Amino acid sequence: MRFRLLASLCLLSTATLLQAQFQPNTANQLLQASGTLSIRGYGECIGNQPLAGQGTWDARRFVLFTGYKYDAHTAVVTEIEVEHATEIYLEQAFFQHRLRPGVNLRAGLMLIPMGIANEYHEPTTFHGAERPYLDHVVVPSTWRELAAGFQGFLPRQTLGYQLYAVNGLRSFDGEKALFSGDKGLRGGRQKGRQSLAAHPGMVGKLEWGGLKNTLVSASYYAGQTESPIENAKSGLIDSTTVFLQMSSLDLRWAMKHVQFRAQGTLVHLKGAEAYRVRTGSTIATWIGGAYAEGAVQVLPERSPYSCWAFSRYSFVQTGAEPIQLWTQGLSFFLNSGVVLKLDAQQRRTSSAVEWTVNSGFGFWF
Amino acid sequence: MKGTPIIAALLAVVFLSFQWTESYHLRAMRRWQSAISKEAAWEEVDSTTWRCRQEDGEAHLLVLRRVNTCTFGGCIRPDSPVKASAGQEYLVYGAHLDGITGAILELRVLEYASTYGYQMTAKWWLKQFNQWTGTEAEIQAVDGITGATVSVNAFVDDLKALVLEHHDHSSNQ
Repeated sequence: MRFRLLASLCLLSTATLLQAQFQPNTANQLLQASGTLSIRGYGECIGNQPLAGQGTWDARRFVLFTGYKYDAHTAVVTEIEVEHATEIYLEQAFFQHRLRPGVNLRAGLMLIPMGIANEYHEPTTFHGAERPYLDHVVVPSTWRELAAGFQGFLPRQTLGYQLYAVNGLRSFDGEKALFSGDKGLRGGRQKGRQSLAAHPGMVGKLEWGGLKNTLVSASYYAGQTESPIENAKSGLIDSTTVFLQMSSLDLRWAMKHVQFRAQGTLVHLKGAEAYRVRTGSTIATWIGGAYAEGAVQVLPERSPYSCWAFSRYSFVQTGAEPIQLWTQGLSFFLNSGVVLKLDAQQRRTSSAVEWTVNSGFGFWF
Repeated sequence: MKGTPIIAALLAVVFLSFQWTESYHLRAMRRWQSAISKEAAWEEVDSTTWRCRQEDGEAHLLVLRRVNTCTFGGCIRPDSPVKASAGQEYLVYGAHLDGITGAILELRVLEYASTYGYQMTAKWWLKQFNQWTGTEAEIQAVDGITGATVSVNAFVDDLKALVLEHHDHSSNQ
């Protein structure tokens, strides 16, 4: 009896950890759930303690998903988020309708399919208390905009695809630039809040699972940014906007005891020089970066828990100076839905080296 | 307006999607029949099963199946006697069987309605069932597939029922 219990726990912990690498995001789970009304959620609390300076603890986010499935063809997903204990956002609100096998129509406020962490950002899906820095300043995670288009899956090719028309990032708020050298594109998210949409852009993603234990994705976004100064009626574009193209390639690979993931993202801002002169922004014409992360399971198979030691190297450049980050730490899973995290991060620029200890916990249900 | 071509392209996809929806799976099976043998005459055993016998004595069986799948998190079991709810997910697959021994020759997933766990439609995963007659040691089906354990089990159970049915049938002849 004890042996059977132990064996069950081992099986559970193995499943848990493969799940951490390939875990579906919550919206996808809601779309698959049978029945009518589904409720799910996730949350995380994070502490950041710089070695030199004052640390903070933050109830970073609590998110509640509700999904309603009308029939086998039509479903609605909504996500409401409380960030930093006080700020309330609508993070997703879209419907999906199956047009034919492999083609679903999807429209509403949705996550932009770019890179790994923007779509898969539940705390049990990534290592480290903080999301990768690349997915903070280059892919401004959580990047969500109003969009309409198609997604689906081609089983013979083991290929998932998404293609949407989407409103662009906002590059100017009427007084100052929203893109900058230190925060990248992060300030430009419109988040569905009375979004300017004079020039719809396009975003697409292909995700291929044809190799064992591996997922490979490629994403591309192109669109003119938005600005309140622009004369949308006549289609004139002034220098408070740029034409933004973003390409991203990522890979996830997982075995029972070893995981690896990597992502590279490159952005070109056409018209950046005029934008910098006009708005005083410090953002570079080409921005981007990459990271690679390896993780190993450190607890024996008989343990009812699982613990992953990981190391991640990131290289990011959004302004004049490149930034390198080394992050090493542990993700300790109490079960598939609750994780404790601890890591140390070194941030290196040409002028300074800073150390921060990050810790926290996350849950998902 | 600058976005007009984009909107027109999206509308075109919607329009074409409606045109193609009918008999999607049947057309896929007919294409498969042609790929197996262009000369052989395929006999329709029932609306989801086709059989042919070639001049050299080889016999082939093509079967179209639908399996109710499930997600972890409280949906009904695929084999539940309770009727599947409106939101039940499913997959549709085709099986190419040896018409004499009932052994699996090839599997193709034609539709996978879920949004994750789709590694189970990959050729590397489906290949493990080739020559399977449902009587050998259990296949390590869940290995390499995550987040879709119940779907995998439902698929393997259905496949086992299918091959045993045709295996028995052929041995009784």
